[in-house]
Amino acid sequence: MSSIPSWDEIGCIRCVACVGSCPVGSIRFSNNRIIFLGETCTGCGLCVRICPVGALSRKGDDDE
Amino acid sequence: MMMNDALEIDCLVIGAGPAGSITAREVARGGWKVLMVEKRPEIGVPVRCGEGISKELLDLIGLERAPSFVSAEMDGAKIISPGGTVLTLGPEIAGPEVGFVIEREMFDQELAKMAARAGAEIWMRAEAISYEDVGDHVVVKIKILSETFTVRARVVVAADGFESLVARWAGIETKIGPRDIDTCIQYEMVGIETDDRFTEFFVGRKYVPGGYIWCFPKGHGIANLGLGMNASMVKEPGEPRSYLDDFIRKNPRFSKGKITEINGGGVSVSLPLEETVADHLVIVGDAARMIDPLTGGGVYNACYAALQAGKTICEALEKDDTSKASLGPYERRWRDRLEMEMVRNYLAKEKLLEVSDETLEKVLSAIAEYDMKEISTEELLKALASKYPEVLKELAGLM
Ligand SMILES: Cc1cc2nc3c(=O)[nH]c(=O)nc-3n(C[C@H](O)[C@H](O)[C@H](O)COP(=O)(O)OP(=O)(O)OC[C@H]3O[C@@H](n4cnc5c(N)ncnc54)[C@H](O)[C@@H]3O)c2cc1C
Ligand code: SF4
Ligand code: SF4
Repeated sequence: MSSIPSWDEIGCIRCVACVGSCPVGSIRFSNNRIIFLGETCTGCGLCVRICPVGALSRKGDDDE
Repeated sequence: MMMNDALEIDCLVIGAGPAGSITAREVARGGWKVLMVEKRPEIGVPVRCGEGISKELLDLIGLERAPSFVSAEMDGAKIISPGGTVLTLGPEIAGPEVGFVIEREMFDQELAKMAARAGAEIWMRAEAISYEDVGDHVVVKIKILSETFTVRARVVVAADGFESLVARWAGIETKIGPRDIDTCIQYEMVGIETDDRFTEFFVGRKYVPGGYIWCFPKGHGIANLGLGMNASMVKEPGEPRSYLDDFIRKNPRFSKGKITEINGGGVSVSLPLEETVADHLVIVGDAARMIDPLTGGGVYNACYAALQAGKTICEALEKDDTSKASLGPYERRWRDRLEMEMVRNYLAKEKLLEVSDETLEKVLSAIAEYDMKEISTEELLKALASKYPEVLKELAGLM
């Protein structure tokens, strides 16, 4: 699904702010990686705004 | 002791932060079989904390002050208004709120060691990945590297922090909206000008909309410089970091410093969960949204609730009944002490999100004119009323 945000592995500071904010529990932090469980993601974009360092972006916004 | 048959224990604690370690210690002290699992490779790393704690906290949890985890001792706090007015809160007022600036990872590791010494088992790099209530106990799958273990526990403690997924697996709603979340970024900096006996809080939209910037000094020109920003105020991705960078660039006290660590995190500035127990489950600390919604401090509340959780779980195990009703006393025990203040500070946070910088400036300078030792809140309000009646109207309900 194109609405799932994309994760910048190198830019991420592993703060898990996105994980606890996702309204549908669609993000996991596992083995030091952020994982999107795509099936429940509504594409609301909250995690993108929450990320303090801009390590998440909407797919398609990547190459702006 | 790890094997592929299901491991049967009395209490499984998920997450080895302060909430998990204190609960594990208390239940292990009661003589019960406790396992605490932590998915990170090292306890407390990376740090997700400003590292300011109260002196009272060490007494509460029975931990001796040690140089290994205490970096500096504070005399109080300074609140800096948008216009630069400094409101100094001495120990009489700031008292229990500020005490020590610590090394959080060392502190968390101390607490985990206390749990281990009390008899709790600890598994590292061990992630709880599923949760199933099977009637009289809970089955949890734990993943360590490529292996998966099954644990059967009579009671599970969700101490998994801001991520708060365990409670969700058990069917409890933990969702909070953007207005009830602060997103934070923090640098540890070296070579900056700090006020070594005071924590500092820069408040107002000028610095950051819907939040504040903190400077918690560790001595020798080292400090945590961090920013918390209400998520509802964020317009562009990565804004919190930009605000912090801007603040540092514009402030000659900090602009020449070097960054030696970058961390951050999410903080709930919400009311606590409506229910923090279920059958065979107790939710403690950030997982239960117990952070103070005004200050963003959560270690004290997590530890206080963990002590109550430990006590209640021991009683329930003794009765051989870990149903929701039997674990029920936990609710009252932690709420009696913490909930009222959380509600008051939640309302204050709501108000502050609306307050303009001009109003904030007037209030802080009016307060700064008084010797807070000698003035009561009532007198202060009277003083405000005579000087800035319109401000008092705007602030109604805040104090
Ligand atoms: C930037 C920032 C600054 C802060 N500053 C302060 C401050 O100055 N003073 C203060 O008092 N508070 C502060 N807080 C809040 C404080 O950090 C928390 O309240 C505190 O850490 C709560 O402790 P806890 O044990 O509930 O959760 P945590 O300390 O978050 O521990 C939860 C643990 O559970 C583990 N875990 C999660 N899921 C699983 C799983 N499925 N399996 C196994 N393990 C799992 C995590 O890896 C983590 O180690 C700050 C928070 C942030 C983000
Ligand atoms: S876009 Fe919304 S639903 Fe999807 S992962 Fe982010 S916060 Fe969750
Ligand atoms: S909020 Fe951003 S920096 Fe923090 S864990 Fe998620 S992606 Fe990484």
